[in-house]
Order: sequence, then C-alpha cells, then structure tokens
Amino acid sequence: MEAPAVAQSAEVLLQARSVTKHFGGVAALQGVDLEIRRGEILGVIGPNGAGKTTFVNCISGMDKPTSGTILFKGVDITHMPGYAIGRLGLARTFQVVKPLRQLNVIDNVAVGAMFGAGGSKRNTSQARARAEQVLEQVGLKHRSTHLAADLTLPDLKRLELAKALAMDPELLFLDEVMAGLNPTEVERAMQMLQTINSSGITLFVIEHVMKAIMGISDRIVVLHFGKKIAEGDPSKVIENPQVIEAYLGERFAKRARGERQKR
Amino acid sequence: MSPEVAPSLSPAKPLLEVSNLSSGYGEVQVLWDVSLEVRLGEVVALIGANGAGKTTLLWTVSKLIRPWSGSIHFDGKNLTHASSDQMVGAGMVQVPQDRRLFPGLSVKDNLLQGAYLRQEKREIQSTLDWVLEILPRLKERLYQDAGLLSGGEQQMCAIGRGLMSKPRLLAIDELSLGLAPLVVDNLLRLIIDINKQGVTVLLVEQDVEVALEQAHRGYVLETGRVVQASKASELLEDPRIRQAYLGL
Repeated sequence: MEAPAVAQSAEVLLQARSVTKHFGGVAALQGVDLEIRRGEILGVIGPNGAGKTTFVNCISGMDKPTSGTILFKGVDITHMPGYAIGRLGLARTFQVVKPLRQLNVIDNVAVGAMFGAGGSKRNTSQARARAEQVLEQVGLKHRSTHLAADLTLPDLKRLELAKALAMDPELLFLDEVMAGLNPTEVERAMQMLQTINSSGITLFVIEHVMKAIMGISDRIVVLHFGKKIAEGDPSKVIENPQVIEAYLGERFAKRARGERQKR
Repeated sequence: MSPEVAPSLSPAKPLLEVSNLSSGYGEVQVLWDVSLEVRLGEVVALIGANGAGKTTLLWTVSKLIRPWSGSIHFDGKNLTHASSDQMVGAGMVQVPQDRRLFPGLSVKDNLLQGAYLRQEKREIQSTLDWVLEILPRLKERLYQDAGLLSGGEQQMCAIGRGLMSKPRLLAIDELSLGLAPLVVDNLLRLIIDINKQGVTVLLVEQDVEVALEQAHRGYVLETGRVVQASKASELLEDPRIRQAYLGL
C-alpha cells in the first residue's frame, strides 16, 4: 500500500517562483515553479543536463538565479549568501563530493556542525560530539580518524551526507547520494533516508536510481531542458508519456512500476 | 568496418584466463586467489558489493597494478608480467569507472588517444568511421570539448575511445554510474551491438539485474574472492543472489 502523501495543506517550507538561470546563452533553468512541503520526501528526476543540480545550486546560494524568487520559511533567500542560508536551516550534499581532504572524517563533519543551523552556539568539542552522533547515524563511525582523502567513493558519499546532517537542517537537498551503490546497498540507504525524514527533516532527493526514487518519494518532480514537465504522485508520474520518452524509456518504466507496487 | 574477431560463440575457447590471482595496494591485499575466464564472444558480468575488489581485478588484469601471485593468460599467451600497454596491444582494453576523458581536448582527439599504439593512419581512420557509425551522437560532437559533454555522452566517448584500439576484450567499469535510465538503456543496446560485432565484453555494473540480463555468465566477488560463477540466468534466479545483490 502507498504511504499517505504529505497533505496538500502541509506548510510550504520552500517556494521557488519562476526561477531562471542562464549560463551565457544557455538557459539551464527556465521559469521553474516548485514547492517543497514540510515533512515530505520530494524526488527529483530528469535527464543528465536537465538543470537539477543547477536548481539546487540556485537554492543553496552556490549560484544566483538570473531571475525569480526563492522563499524559505517565508524569508526571501534569493540573494542571501550560502552561509546565511545554511544558518537558516537548509543544507545540501554535492554530487561530485567535496570533502576537506586533509582533515579527518570527524573534523569534516564537525565543520558542518559549526556551520549550520545549530552551529553558532557550538564550540569545537561540542561540534565534535555532534559529529560523532551523525557518523554513527550514517554508518561511518569506524572511519572517524581516517583522512577524508583515504576514503572510498561510497564512504565519501556517506561523509557528504554526514557533513550536511551535522548542520541540523530542516530541509536537506541530496544530489545523487546513491550513485554507485548496488541494489542491496541502495535498500539500506533508503532506510537511512526514511529514518532521517521521520526525525523531522524534509528531503529533496535527486537520484537516477529508480528503485530509490520510487520507494521513498511522496511526490516526484521531473525536470527536462530546464523546465518542469511533470509533478505529482510517483505512480502517475512514471506513466506520463513525456517522462517515459524523455527520461525513463520503456524498459525502466516497467521496472519502476514494479518498484512502486512493492511498496 | 568491424573488428577482426569473428563472433564465434565456441564455448571452449577462453580469451582471458585469470588463475589464482592475488593483488592489492601497498600492504593491503584486496584479491585472494581469484580465478575467472572470459570466453571468446561472451558478455560476462562481474558483480559484488562496493569494496569487493571488482575494480581492483580490472586494474590488475589491465596491469595498472601489479599481480602479487597467480597468472593472467590472454588468447593463450601468458601475460602475467606484461605491461599495461602490452595488454592493450594484445587486445585487452578497459573503460574506466570515472570515464577519465581528457577535458580540453576535442571528442575526436579523445577518441584518437585510444589508438595511440597504432601506426597505420588509414586503418585508424576506418576504425574511427566505425566508432562514429555505432555512436552517432559523438559524430555530432566531434569537435567539441569533451569536458562539456553530458554524462551519457562522456560514457559513449569513453567506450568509443576503448573501441579505437580495436579491442578483442572490452572491460567496462560501472556502465550506468550517474546516468539517466533511458541513457543506460541505450548504452546497453550499444554493448549488445558491439558484442554482436565480435567484441568480447567484461561488464562491472552496480545494477546487478541489468548486468545479469545482458550477460551470458556472471561471477560474484565477495571480499576479494570469487564465491560463485554460473550462467547469468541462473544467478538471476538464485535466492541468495537475489537477496544479497538485488534487494529482493
């Protein structure tokens, strides 16, 4: 049975209005309207180059939209610097992992703990204590004292998640944290994300792994050439002919249906 | 133009034969006594969890790292102590996990890097024509910077570069990594097409279902050891494999 989606009436945590981003002559995002509701897991799919990461960059202050408005908890964050957005309770991971390579794992995460929503109140040892909790949560505690530079890619993806979680976000953007995991590892990662979500963190999940997207999303948004082409209930979105043609293909559409039925 | 190898499916003849292979990094042993063979004309899938040693096995066979013990035969010749360029010369080519294109070079120049051991200009050109025929998207992008390609196009370029050496065995590490489902589907068709044209394929793939659906046979690697080897269709039905690798 399908889990009940977050009610339509739930509080809008983030609202993107007509967000457009141009890189020279290339329109990476063209007037994207999108709402993220408190408590939900929003899945985001779309072909490589559709603008998914650019969207997250614009929201998190890594990049500024060419036009449009972004409201987080009702506050206009469109022109806010990234660190201030982090303090407000928004965190993200990076698809191409960005560890501080010369620091060990726990200090990488402690930096997140000092940077985010709860950060200004923490001293170094409090930040390390918070980091330790998070490392436990993501299953990376046994690597605490390793240099980030020495981690394998799946562990670097976990570190990426840990850094963001340590920021105590209300809204967390995850950019392909499951790439390179096998189906059983994906299964474990899905459980982890669901636990994170039930602890009260709203999730925006970009992923090509359909097993995961179909398994955990309350809603799905599809981007294609910088535009939103579909949005809604996962089982409906994967039947949308435009989504199948642009992104899924028949083979994977069939598999995605199976994943949804298993839920 | 297609490679010289006839698409023979003679089940007896091994193209790559790995026996009791051990290797690792520094003092850390990763592979323990691994034996495996890839027969002429086959698609063989190599599956296993992250850290099981799949990439290390490809790297050892390609001689990017040195075998500690055991042997590697290719087309009947003992190439255990051959260098990586000798492996390429013999027809063993790897498409690496993170694609490793040369950004700043055009797609065409990236493809030509794959033919760096070959001398005859005319033959290189005819291989290039063949590669662009099976990868028409690269033809459209031929003079663009390879660093500006989409993820799927980069993977096509990496496969195309591998084909430029006219390999007999193409080993592909993580075909689907980070790619949209439709792109993966197209790449799988491409792999089948390449295989039908006579190139033997060793496929490392996290999407175990996809890998086993395409492959003739599969090997399961766990903590650096081969724990199972059988027909891909049998592995797909095996309850233990389904539970451990398919999450079913």
